[in-house]
Amino acid sequence: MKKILVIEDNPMVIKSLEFKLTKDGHEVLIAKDGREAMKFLKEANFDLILTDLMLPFVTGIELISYIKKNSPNTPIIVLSTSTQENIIMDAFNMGVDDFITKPFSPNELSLRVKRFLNKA
Amino acid sequence: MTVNLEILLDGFSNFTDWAWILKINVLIISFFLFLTLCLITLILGLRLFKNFRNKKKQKQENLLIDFLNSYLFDEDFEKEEQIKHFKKNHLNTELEIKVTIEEILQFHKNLKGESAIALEELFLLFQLDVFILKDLDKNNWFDTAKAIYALSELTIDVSVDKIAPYLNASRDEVRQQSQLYFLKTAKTNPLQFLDVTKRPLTTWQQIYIENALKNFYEGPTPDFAQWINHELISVVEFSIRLIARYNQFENIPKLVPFLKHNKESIKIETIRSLRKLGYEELLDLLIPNFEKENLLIQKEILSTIEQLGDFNDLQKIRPLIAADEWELKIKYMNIERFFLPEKIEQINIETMLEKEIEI
Repeated sequence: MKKILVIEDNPMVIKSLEFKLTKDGHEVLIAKDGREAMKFLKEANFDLILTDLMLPFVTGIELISYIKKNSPNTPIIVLSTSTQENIIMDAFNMGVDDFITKPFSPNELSLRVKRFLNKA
Repeated sequence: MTVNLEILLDGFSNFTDWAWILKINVLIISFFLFLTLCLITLILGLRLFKNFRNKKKQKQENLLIDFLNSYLFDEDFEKEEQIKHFKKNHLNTELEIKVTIEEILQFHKNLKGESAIALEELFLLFQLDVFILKDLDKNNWFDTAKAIYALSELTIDVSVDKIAPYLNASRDEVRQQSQLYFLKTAKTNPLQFLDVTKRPLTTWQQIYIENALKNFYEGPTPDFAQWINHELISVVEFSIRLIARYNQFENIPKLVPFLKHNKESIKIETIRSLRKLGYEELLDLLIPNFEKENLLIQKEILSTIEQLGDFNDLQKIRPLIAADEWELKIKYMNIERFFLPEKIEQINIETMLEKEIEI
């Protein structure tokens, strides 16, 4: 069972991602803000990280740079409302593996997650 | 203590014998005491009602989150039966229906693709559209605006007569939502509602319309020239702007007469649009009238020279700028620097000298 960390502050999105990814057979851990995510990241290793960019306390960008420094091989998928090209480019330049914009298709997200987990 | 109480009761029994000032004082105190008690009871009652309502709301929200997730992502979920069950048991009160509508909208806002379509279907299966249509006729503007918003978000087609009257509602918010409704549900001609629009478009409405045209409407782009002769100035300006945004070069001949329009804002919008469309003869039409125009239009003419003209066009303007018109002079010199980058130093010195002479 692959372990996925979901970092997201929207309760509705959290519930949907948790439901869908658990249904797909993954172990899902939820962090509702950047601080909680940092705590999880220090305590455990994950097979994939799904994160928003705009988060309370510690931003998504800070989290990405922390993950890339400490576990560079963990794939990161960004799930964000931002459609601005420069933000997307910045995320990819930091080493993000994929970028999904909200509103998102849960089926498409599920497929992308599977693709990354199969690669690992 | 008992003796004191007896004296007090005895005193009250002789109320009629009291001095009038004392009677009035007691009456006023009693009245305010009663009012205070009523107020405290009301506050406590409202608080209790709110807590009770929030609890019910939370319960319904939790139910819905589980229901919607199962409905969307669980392949083993028996949709038909579960929908019937939910409708029968959890869609009875106004609160339950309102929370359900809000929750479906919230899910719809965050999801796309098959899931979004499934939510639209569920909305109809729950017959929430019937409730929404009843909300439309309520007197509260916010209920009406919310109802139209829900219909347009879920692209639910209802009879045009139901929404059209709100295009000219007194509240901006209601008008805005009805405009977005027509835009989001249109298959062709998304701005047809402008034909019956009688109230000016606010800046926010124009932004929302443009955004919806770009992001939601999927049909063929309308010919924006249809509305350049509209009775509302804001609609005319908006149409002229959209002609340029959508590169409708074929409408250039229709825009040119608006350069002579007596309304300054329309004239400015026309210059900007023709400039964006790269209309080559624009400067030949503008430069001869430079002197007669006001400052705002003169500045637009200078911007047009910068974008479409050359240094020779700029030089034609120089003698037409009044000596004390520094705003124009500075703009002129900035454009001069743009055309002659090698002479920036010389232009700067000339500007300084001119300023000194002026002082």
